[in-house]
Amino acid sequence: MKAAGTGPAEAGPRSTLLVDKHATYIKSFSRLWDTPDKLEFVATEHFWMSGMYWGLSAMYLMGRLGDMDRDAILGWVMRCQHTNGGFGGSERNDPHLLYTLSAVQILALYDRLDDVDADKVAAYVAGLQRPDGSFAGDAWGEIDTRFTYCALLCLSILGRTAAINVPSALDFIAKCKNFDGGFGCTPGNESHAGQVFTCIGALSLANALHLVDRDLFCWWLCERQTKSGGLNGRPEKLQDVCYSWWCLSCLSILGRLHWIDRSALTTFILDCQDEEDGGISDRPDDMADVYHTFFGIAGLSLMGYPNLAAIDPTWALPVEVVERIKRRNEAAASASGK
Amino acid sequence: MSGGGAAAAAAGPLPYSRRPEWADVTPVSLPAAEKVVAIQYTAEHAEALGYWRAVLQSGELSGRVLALTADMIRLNQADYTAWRVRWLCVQQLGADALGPELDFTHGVMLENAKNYQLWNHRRLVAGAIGPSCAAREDAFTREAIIFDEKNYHAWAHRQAVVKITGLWEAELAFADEFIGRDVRNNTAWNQRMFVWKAMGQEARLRLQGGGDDAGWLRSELEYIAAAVQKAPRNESPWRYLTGLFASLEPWASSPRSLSRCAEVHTLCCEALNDCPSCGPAYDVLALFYEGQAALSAAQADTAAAAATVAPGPAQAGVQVVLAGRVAATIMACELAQAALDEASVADPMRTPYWLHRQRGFNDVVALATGVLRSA
Ligand SMILES: [Zn+2]
Repeated sequence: MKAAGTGPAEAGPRSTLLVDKHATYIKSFSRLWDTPDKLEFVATEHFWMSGMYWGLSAMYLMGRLGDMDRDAILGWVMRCQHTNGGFGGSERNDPHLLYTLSAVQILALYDRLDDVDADKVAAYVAGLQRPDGSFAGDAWGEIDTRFTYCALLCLSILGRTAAINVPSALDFIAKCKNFDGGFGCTPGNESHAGQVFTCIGALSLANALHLVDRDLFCWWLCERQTKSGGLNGRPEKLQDVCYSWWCLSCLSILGRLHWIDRSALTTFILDCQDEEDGGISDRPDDMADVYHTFFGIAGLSLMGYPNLAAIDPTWALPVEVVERIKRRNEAAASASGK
Repeated sequence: MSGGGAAAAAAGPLPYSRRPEWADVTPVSLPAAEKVVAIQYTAEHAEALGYWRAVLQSGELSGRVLALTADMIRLNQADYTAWRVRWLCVQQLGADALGPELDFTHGVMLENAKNYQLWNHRRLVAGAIGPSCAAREDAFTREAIIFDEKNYHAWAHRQAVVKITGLWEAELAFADEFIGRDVRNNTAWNQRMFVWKAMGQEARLRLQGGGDDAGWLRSELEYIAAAVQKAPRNESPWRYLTGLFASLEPWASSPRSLSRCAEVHTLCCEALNDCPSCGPAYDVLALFYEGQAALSAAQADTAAAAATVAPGPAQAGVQVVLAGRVAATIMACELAQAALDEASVADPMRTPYWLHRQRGFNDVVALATGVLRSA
C-alpha cells in the first residue's frame, strides 16, 4: 500500500507507513506513570498529559486505539485534575491550559466528555483570559498565542465558548499578525509555524478566517517546503516533521493544501520512521519520539494516506470524533432550549 | 540563595534531612497510589521531592523554598510548578532578591537556552527591575543569540525589554549587527521591522536627522537592495520589502503604495539581472504590476465617469485619457502575467501558487475593455 505518487523507486522498509511498529512503540508509553525505573520519563513528567494525547490520537488514526489500556488511562487523567477545574501535566504538576486541553481531547477521543464538569473546566479557562483578550498558560502568567488556541479549542469541545470573551481573544490574535502574513507568540514576535497553526486554528474555531491575508500568508506557508520535501518552521531553518504538520494543517484549513508538493512531503515523513523500534523522528535517522510520531501520522492523514482515519486540521482530532463532539453540543444546546 | 547549592555541590549535596534550616519541616511522602513513581527518581531527587511536597502544602514562600526550587529546577528545568513558586518567593523576598535571579537564570540558560520557563521568569525579573535592566539584559540575550542567532525566546525577550527601556535606536543597531552577520537571519529582519513600527513615523524621521518619508524609504530600499545582492533568493529582505509598504505609515494607508514606487521595479530588475531564476523577485515584480493594473483601472473608471458628463467639445480629450488608462491596465496585467510565468519556471515546486496569482488578470482585462466599450 504505497502512497500514490510517492517519490523514490527504492522500496526500502521506510517506503510505507509501519503501522504495527508505531503501535508497539506507542503502546510502550501507555502506562508511563508506572513505568519503573526510567529516568528519561522524569524529565518529561510535566507534559505527560500531552504525550498521552499524542499517543492516543496517533493510535486512533491508525485504527489501534483499542490496544491502549482505556480504563487505566482515564483513571489517571482524572487524577490529574485539580479542584479549580484545570488539569496538570501529571499528578504532581499544577494545572495548566496546555494539559487541560490535552485532557479534554483524551476524554473526547474516548467519548467520555461526561466524566468532567464542563462548567468547572470552563471557569478555569475563563479565569486565564487577560483584559487584552490574550490567555495566560497558567497562574504564573506566561502569555502566548498557543494558549488562545488551547482555550478556544478546549471550550469548543466542551460547548462552553460563551464562558470567554471571544471577540477580544480574536483582537489579540489580530495584533500578533505580521507583515509576512504569519503570526507570532505575542505582538511583534517573528512568524513561526507553530504559532501560526495555533492562530489559524483559533480563527477557524471562531469563524474569523477573514482576518487572514490568505495569499500572502499561504505563500509564506509554501515557502516553508525545502528541497528535502519536508517543511521548516521559519525561513532558513531545518525541515522537521512537526513543522510539516503545523504548516500543512493551516493550508488545509485555508483550502490550499495543493499549494505544496504533497508526494515529496509524504516521502520525507515516511523517511523519518524508525523501521526497527517504531516511531517517527523530526528528521531522518534522528531519535523517534511520540510527539513527532503523532504529527507525522497526522500529516499523512491530512494528505489522505491510505488506511488512516481522517484528522480535522482545526481540532487536531479525528474527523469522526469532531463530528461526535458537534452532535453532542447541538443536542445539549437544543435540550437547554437555545 | 542559589549560591548555597553551589557551595554544597563541592562536597556533594547535603541531604535535606541533615540541613539545619529544614529541621522543622516533615517531608511528605508519596501517597500510596503514586508510590510506584518513586522508583523512577534518584534518592536525592526523591528526598528533595518530600520537602517540596511539604512546602507546596504549607504554601511557604521564603528564602529556603527559593533554594529548594533551584534544586527542583535543576532536576527538571521545565517544571513549571517549581518556576511559579520561585517567582512567588522572589516577590515575597522583595527587591534584593531580584539581582540573584539574573545569575540563576543565566546558569539555566547556559544549559538550555530554549526553555520557555526560563525566559518567562527572566522577563518577570527584568520587568520588576525596570529600565535599569538594560545593560544586563542586553548582555544576557546577546550571549544566547551569539550561540543561536535565531533563538526565538531571546529575540522576543529583547522586544519586551526595549518596551521597558525605550532604547529603540540601540535595538535597531542590534538587529542591523545580526543582519550584517547573516543576511538570512529572518528573526533579525523581523526585529528591524518591529522597531520601525514601534517607533512610529516621527521618531523615524528624527532618527535619520530630518528629511522626509521619501528619503527614509530610499535609504531603506538601498539597505534591502544590498541584502538582495548578497543572496537574491533569500526570502527575508523580499518579505521585509513588501512588509514596509503594507505596515508602515504613510505607505500602509495609501492603496497600492508599492506599485507607486519606481525603485521597487528597479530593485526587482537588478536582482533578476544577477540571478535570472529568482522566485521572490518575480513574486514582488508581479505584485508591482498587479498594483499598477489596479491603479490604472481605477483611473480608467474615473475617466469613464468624466466621459458621461463631459460637454461635447471636451469629449475627445476625455476619450483619449480613458483609452490611455485602459491600455495601461492591460499592459500591466500582461507584465504581471509574464512575471508569474517566469516564476513557475524558476520555482516549479510552487506552481499551484503562481497559477493562483494569475487567476484575476483576465477579469481585470475584461473589465477595462468593457469600460472602454461602454464609454
Ligand atoms: Zn519537531
